[in-house]
Amino acid sequence: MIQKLRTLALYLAVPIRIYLGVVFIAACLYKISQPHEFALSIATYGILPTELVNPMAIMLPWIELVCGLTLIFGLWTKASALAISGMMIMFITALLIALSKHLHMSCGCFASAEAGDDINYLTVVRDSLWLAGGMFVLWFDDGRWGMDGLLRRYFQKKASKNAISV
Amino acid sequence: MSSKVTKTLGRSLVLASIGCIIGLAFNFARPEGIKFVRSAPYNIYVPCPMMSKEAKPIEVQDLEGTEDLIFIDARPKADYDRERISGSRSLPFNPLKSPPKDTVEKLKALGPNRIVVIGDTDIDSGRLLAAELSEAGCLGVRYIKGGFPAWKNAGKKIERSEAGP
Repeated sequence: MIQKLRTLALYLAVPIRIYLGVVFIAACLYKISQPHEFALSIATYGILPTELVNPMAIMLPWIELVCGLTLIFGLWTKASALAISGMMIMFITALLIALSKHLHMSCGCFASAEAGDDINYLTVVRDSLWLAGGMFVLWFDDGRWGMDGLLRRYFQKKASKNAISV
Repeated sequence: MSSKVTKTLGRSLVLASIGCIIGLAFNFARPEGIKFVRSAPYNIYVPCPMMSKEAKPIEVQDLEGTEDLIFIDARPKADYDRERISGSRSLPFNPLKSPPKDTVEKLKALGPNRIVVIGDTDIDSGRLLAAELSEAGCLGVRYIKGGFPAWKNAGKKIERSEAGP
């Protein structure tokens, strides 16, 4: 029974991984194209000191892009899932701080602070579900249906060929 | 820590570092890139909190038994001084300032369903002040639909200042 559930989780982790990858890539595109707008969104949260706002705005979307792509292709799957879960924890914390300050603002997740609906507890629930997805992939996806699996099989084949020739 | 965990953590850091390096290089190369460190704080504009409570509108002809009602005039003081509902009190609506606390407390003490706000039609000051008073805790606040012009057009009694034009 447990084995069956594990196999099911293994199958389930693949679409979740691809979905999370797409979400992160979709989230980073606007931030990359409009760094100033994204910096303004970060500043609106009022958490980071001014000096750290721009470095965050410059680097974070690219980390999202790299992790999103590696998740979709299943390369270093667990590491990407860990990085994405870490980012989700950071986003949820920022949202909770903003909500506790009663800030009326957009989350700046997919577009600028001026666009989109105001943040609310549903935004936190949405991000928590994505965090749960990330943790699920981290726990269950062993990368067999992705580049990790392909590379593993390639190197195993190569090693066995070498062993035979020796 | 097991080697698997260390390996995953290490790879996560590598991914984050790759992202950081690409981000820095891209920002440096693009013409619309932003400064790496900004010393001046950003000018942040956060919209004012919306009033969650709305007061009830009321037509002039639906007002009955006006002797129990307290009319609050939300129009600018100059308009109030020129002409007003007799016995009304002036509390000009200011979008940037809440009504004085002591005034609100006095209005709250009047009890429910006694406050009727009358404003002008230009900025809908009656509705806005009525909503503000409701938000502040006054119960059963209403505002006159169409404001002071509707009151005048209905042929209701008004008081004019003698020094006026």
